Amino acid sequence: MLHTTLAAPAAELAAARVLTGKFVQRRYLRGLDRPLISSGDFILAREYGILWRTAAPFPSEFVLSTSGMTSA
Amino acid sequence: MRDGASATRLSSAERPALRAALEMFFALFALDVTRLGDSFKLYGGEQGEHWQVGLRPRDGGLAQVFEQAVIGGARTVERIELSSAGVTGPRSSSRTRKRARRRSMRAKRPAFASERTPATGGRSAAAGCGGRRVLGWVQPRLRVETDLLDLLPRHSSDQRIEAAVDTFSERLARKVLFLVGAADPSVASAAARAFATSLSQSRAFDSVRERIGQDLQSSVALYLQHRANLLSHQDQETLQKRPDGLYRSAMLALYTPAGLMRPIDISRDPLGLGTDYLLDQVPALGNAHLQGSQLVVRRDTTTFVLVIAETAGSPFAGEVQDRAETAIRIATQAAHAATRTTRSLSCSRERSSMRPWRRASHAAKWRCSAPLEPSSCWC
Repeated sequence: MLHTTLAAPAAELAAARVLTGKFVQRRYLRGLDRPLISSGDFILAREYGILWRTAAPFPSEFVLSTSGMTSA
Repeated sequence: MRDGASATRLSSAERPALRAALEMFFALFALDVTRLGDSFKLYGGEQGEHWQVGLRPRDGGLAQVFEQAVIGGARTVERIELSSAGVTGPRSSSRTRKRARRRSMRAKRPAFASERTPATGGRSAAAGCGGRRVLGWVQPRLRVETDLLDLLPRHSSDQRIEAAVDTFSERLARKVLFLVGAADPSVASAAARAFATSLSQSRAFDSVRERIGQDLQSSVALYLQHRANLLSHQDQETLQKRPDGLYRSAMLALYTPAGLMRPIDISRDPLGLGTDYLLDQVPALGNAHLQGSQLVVRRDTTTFVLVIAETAGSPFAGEVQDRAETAIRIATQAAHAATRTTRSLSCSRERSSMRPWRRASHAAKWRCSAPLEPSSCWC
């Protein structure tokens, strides 16, 4: 049942070599009442990896590829 | 590692868990249910056109990093929530709106807006006049010795060091590495699991591990007890050259997925000093990489799974060797029985390469030939 529901969006995503989108990340930490919120956009390229570009609260880039991880 | 300026870099060759993390990210974002099902138990439901899928790690190693993940959407994925282990409630959620289209990757490197001035280092201010006067009188009689071991009686310090080295060497000498291989990765995985289970049930080996991360939390707990005295070489350099680099890395860990790559959660290790020291202790693994929670090496057409064990007793004792030989033979048979295949299955073992130099001349060449039917095994 679940697989049937997911078949259509999974097929659409499987056909794409590059996915792009916007994100809002909420990070919940022990001892903090409110989450730490960041936002930006991401690019996922199958042959290369993931580029995660944070725009707020400060600009940064996170790259996770087959060769390793870089954040700056 | 931190370069002390602006970036944190980790190589997949040194940290095979990164490759596994990348595969998991791809599977999550591409909604690759088949691949996700290998590592996670899936559950979920739908309401109207909206659906939600929850994922819980199948094995303990992954569960120590991710507690669960939730993917939600309608026509496409709209929301991904990742919950790291160790804290109640959701920790990290990423709400995404995605569109699939071809696009070139443009790497624009923005400047980092540092929100903190570098900490002032150096020595504290000079003592007052009274203090200097006292020092001037006392100093000629002071004997400064920075090597604390030199303050101990000579024979006493030697004995302690000898005892520590002996303990360390004995522990290393007891380690035995097994490689269980087969052409089919799933067969190698199942065979390694059966092999390790059989070994652990024998009395010949104290500790048997075939999955990475089985004892991660106990290792973390051990290091955290002594965290005030532990600092990686990279962090030492960063503190000396650019102390605000630690602050920058901490901010990146909080606001990007980089924090998910840390074995110690941020609330316990906000600056990542414990994580860096812990990763420093893990040797580079070369061609080895994680397959699920198993460490594997591929050579030609064969996939080998690493199994690490420690002999129950000194490996230089004949009685221990005899017990070990029997246990290995039974474990190899168990591996064949578990896979129920006539395909070639091989196992090999190597003593720890960190054999204590002191006992090198006494080290036994521990090799045997044990042909098995229907397939061959060399060890």
